[in-house]
Amino acid sequence: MSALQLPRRVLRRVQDRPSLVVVPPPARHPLLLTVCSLLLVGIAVFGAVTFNALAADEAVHARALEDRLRVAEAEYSQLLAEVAALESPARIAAAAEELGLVQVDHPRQLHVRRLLPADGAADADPAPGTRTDRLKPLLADG
Amino acid sequence: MTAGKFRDDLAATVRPRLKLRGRRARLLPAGTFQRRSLGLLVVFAVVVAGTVAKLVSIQVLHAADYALIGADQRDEFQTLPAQRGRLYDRSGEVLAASVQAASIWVNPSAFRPTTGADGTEVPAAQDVDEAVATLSTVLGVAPETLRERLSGSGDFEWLARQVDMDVAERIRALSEAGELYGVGITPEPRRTYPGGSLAAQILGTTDIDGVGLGGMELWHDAQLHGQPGWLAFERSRDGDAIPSGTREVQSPVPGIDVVLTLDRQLQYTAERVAAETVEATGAVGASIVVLEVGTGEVLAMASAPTVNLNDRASLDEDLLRNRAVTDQFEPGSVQKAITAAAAIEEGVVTPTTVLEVADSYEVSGKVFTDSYEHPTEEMTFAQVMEQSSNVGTIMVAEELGDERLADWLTRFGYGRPTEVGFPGEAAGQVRPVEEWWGTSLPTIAIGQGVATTLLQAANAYATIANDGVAVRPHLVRGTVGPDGVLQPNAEETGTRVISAETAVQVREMLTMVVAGEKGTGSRAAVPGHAVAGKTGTARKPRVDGRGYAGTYIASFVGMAPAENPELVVAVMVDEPTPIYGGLVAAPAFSEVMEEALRRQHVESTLAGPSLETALREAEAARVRAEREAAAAAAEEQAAATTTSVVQETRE
Repeated sequence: MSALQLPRRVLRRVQDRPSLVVVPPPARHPLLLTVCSLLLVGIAVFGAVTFNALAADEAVHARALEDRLRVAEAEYSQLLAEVAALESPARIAAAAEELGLVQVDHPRQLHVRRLLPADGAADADPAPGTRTDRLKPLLADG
Repeated sequence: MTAGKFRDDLAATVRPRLKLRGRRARLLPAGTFQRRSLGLLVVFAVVVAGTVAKLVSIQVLHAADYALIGADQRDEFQTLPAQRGRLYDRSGEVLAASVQAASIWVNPSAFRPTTGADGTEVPAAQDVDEAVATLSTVLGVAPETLRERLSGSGDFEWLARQVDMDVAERIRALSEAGELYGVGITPEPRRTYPGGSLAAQILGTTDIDGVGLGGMELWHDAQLHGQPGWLAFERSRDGDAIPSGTREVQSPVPGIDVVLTLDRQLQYTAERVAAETVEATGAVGASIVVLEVGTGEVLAMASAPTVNLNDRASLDEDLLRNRAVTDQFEPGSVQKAITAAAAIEEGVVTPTTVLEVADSYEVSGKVFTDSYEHPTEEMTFAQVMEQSSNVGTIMVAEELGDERLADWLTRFGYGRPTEVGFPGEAAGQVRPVEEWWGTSLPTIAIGQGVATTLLQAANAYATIANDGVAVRPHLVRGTVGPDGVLQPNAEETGTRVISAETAVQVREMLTMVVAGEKGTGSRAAVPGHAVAGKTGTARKPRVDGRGYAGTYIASFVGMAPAENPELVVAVMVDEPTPIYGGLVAAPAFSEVMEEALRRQHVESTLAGPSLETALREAEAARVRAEREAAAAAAEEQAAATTTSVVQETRE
């Protein structure tokens, strides 16, 4: 198989090119490389240490919050029980007796058919799904 | 042989045979650098081999063991107790809750001398007497008890369980100040009952570890106890958690709150009335049940005497018994309403049927008498009920017959538990009709020879109050989920027992028991409301054999308002003096029913004084009180003046 003969114009252009020369390898800067490497390592170490410190800080913070939550829940339960004890009918009866109050024989009651805003702080017509007493479960709506 | 010759001989013998990497081996001369280097190399090789062997032993052969030892030293595992669910009354008032407490323990080895590893004696960390004196003051535990526990041979003893947190803080402060050694604190929830003795027999109690032992605490223990969690973390040498260490938490699942049907205020009233009745009559005990008609909800269930649930030391199993559910008794004349309902439903009689009633009646050789002497007279069946005539009731029961009476007792729920949802509920007792003998019918018709619980009796009356439809009584409204919203239990469906017409007729007859001229239950009347009910005075059977003892049970079961009942109240008094239900149980019924009607906002159906009249009466009472006060003041003034004049005269 014979070589493909180049067109004359192309052949002339190729012949006009300068000869190829070997490019020398780029000059190395060992100091720069070392500094960059050390910098990178330093940043990495600093980042790792910082991240670890931040994680530890957050862990401590989270545990402190957990402790506060646990204490708050314990206090809530304690207060709930104390409120219930203070509201106990037996305690109220004893307190009334101390004040000199006596049990009436046949008490009469007026039944107010509709609560008015002035009748108390409680919402006369609370929205469904809301509770007026935060200490008590919502028993009306199931 | 000299050393030099030996070396030459050895060299001559060995040298030709030894080759090392193709070269002939030769012994290095002693003391040379090469010889010493070789020695060091050998030593180094041995050390390295030993180290490698140890590494293999640690990392390969015993890796799991060492990992376990390390984990044991480093990892801390704690159980997180679940918050036990609360018990609420019907309107969300807390009846039982768990609060944070602390338990104090001690390591007794700190109070006895020990022998150290080197054989020397290590003295005790603290003197027992000194620690006992300090602990006794703070914990309030007897010194002898503390001394015994501190002198124990083990490494762990409880000193006090579930004390208040401020007590624990004082112990902690003493430990940190170096005044106590070997004493530790463990947080622990404590069950508390804010009402003390309120509903004690219904709520029941738990053991020291929070496991239900009785009542609702036992019946709903599976819902209340929750699921304990755990916490695993890495700790440092001093026991503190390592912040960046691994940490795993399985949060505890709190128990479910249970909402009861009880009304706290009404429960208190019922308990107060029961206690007052026991005190006034010298009775052994008393029980009261309040049922809401139509729903079967138990609004109150009281037993006296009672017990304070917060005082564990005083908890008496006998006092914790819910008599209204666990104790059965012969109901006496209270039973006559059931006999009457059966007879009317079967068409045997109507309230207006006239009977010729003597004051005694013989059946199978046994004479039954009325509670009072009277000549033979004509009575309507309504009057038989009103006057609680045994003879009249037995005559009607004979018309009804054994089979039908037994059948109706069963239909009214006798002889089987009501399934109210309470541990240890008694079934009552009705003998199979095949086992009845000659006097069984008249005896059972008037409420002897048959046994019910007070709740069964109340439920039978609730059926009459509910126009003949029986509804299963129950103590629980529902549960409260984590969102704080009530999840109500399914509504009870009723079962018709008698017709509405029969129920109305029985109610009208029972109304006359309270309102009639000769009614035995007049003391059960409630101002402003018509009441229907029946008294009962039943002899107690002997516990040591057949027959009856000389003691009685007084009872009253009734409903109000009589025309459209909303509530049923049953009262039972055990061995009172006087013995009659109309005298002992009926007044208690009246007081409890009055409060119950008020709590349920049931309006008065009987004409009472108008508001204007009531206000006028109140104003008149106020004026009268002021006048009396003024008169008393004037008398005091006059007396003071007289005294002054007398003194002046003397002077």
